[in-house]
Amino acid sequence: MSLCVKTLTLARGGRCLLRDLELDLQRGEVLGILGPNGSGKSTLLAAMAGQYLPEAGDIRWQGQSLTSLDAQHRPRLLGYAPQAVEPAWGIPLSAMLDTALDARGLEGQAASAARLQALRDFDLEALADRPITELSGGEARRLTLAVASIGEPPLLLLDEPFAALDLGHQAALRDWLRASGKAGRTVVTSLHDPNDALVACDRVLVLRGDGMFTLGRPQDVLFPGLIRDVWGVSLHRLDVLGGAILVPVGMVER
Amino acid sequence: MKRLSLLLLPVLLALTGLSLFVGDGPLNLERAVALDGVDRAILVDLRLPRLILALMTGAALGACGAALQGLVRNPLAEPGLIGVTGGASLGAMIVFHFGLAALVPLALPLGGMAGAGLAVAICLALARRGAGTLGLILAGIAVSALTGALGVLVLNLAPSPFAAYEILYWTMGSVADRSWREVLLAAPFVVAGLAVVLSRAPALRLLSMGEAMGASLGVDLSRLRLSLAWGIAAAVGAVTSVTGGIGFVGLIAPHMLRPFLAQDPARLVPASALAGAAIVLAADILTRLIPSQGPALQLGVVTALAGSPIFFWVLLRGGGTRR
Repeated sequence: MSLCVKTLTLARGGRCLLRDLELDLQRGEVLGILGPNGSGKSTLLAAMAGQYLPEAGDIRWQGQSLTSLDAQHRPRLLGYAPQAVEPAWGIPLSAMLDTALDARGLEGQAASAARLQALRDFDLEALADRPITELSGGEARRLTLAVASIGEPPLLLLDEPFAALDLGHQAALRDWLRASGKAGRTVVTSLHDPNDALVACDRVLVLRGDGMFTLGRPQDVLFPGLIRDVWGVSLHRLDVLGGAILVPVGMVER
Repeated sequence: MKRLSLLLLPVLLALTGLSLFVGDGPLNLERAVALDGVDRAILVDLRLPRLILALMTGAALGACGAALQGLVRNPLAEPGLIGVTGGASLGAMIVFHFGLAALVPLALPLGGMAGAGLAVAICLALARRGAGTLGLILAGIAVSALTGALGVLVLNLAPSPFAAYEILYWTMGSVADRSWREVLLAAPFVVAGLAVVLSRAPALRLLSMGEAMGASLGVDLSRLRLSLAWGIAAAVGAVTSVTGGIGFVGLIAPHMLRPFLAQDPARLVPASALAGAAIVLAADILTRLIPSQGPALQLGVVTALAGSPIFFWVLLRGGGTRR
């Protein structure tokens, strides 16, 4: 077991978001977290990143507690892409990547190769010299993913990586998530479109926002009945090309 | 950084030389170097401590300004933000008020340092309950407001108009007529504080995209805040206790250098120490060159007068823009 979550309870502002979550992720598994706005997706990711203290329970990576991990060991173990970043200074994009490489202890040839890989993975080659304050929303999102994943930390925690990306980069990200899993990295990512989860995730965790949750394979969990229950949206499930597509058709009266 | 240092170091050296030989009374170079008579006294007992104090003050203000801007991720921060300057000034004012400055040697700088240390301790205790860096800023504003209010109270209760004037004059900030004793008292605090601030500077680069990203890249935020706050308290508290308030240097030095260092908040810290030292030294030489009918022009007045137009210039040139 690489990521092991035991009896995890999360609360924010006195509101219980998640009660007694039990979760075991294998190496190379991609987990999607879905749920309505405010249901605790980001809080769960922040807790896994060691940046939010759970009410109770335990999050471990190969036996090592992530909630009490020494700060300087963190970058070698995990990469975290928070939902929002606010670049304060216009340092060049490539300098930001070098800073992250340095934090992960990569030097010389290994560092150059990793930098090249990250620039390529997120289509940032042309932006390498751009000050990070002058990136568009989607470009800043790609930089955030590059910083989180550069140097290949074994655990990736991505908060809404698809937000602000254009269609082409969304498709590239789905492929990249699959490839990361195949390469043996464990990925936990929050997302909104159940279709992305069907394509890119091995398992999904649906948070309902009241402490309850549903965990399972995306094709088992993401059926119209559950989506109607949790989001109040009715949709059709079309089975095409050996997979399924969920097409929203409207809100349901609740 | 290397190229910038190559530019800043000669400037600093030239200013150092100039600072030794500019001032009231002619200084005979030959006799001064031979450490002879009055010229020796002028050089060794007046100009040298003044030079070293100016260098320490500028380096402390410049480096701490850059570090604090990097920590709060805002180019408007200056070293006084966490209450250090206000605390040091209040401590010194209280010493003045009770007339201890004339009675006990070193009472003035010691009072200032006690004030600075107390202010930062209160600030950190307040911030511990609040939320992170924003909590630290708000606590700093609260403590600065309190020390400001108490400072006005001390002025109000001054035993005589002359005493009030003396206090006010001191708060304007100067490096003139300070003794070796005062310089040597401040020096260890400045060295220790700067060592902490410089050693923590690389972490500031990791905060460039925000605190959450920085924490995931290995920054222990609460430890960073604590060590920078105490480092700044030691360095800035010590110099302010000896010189009085010298504004704008900590704000301006990083601003002027940012465009030359690709805006890197980490390399900005040591570079701002050099630039801050050069600025304070240049301003101190100016106070000696500008003729004055009444009392000598005070260093803090010059840095404020020269600093604000530079700020306008930096802003108009786009050097301080975030986006």
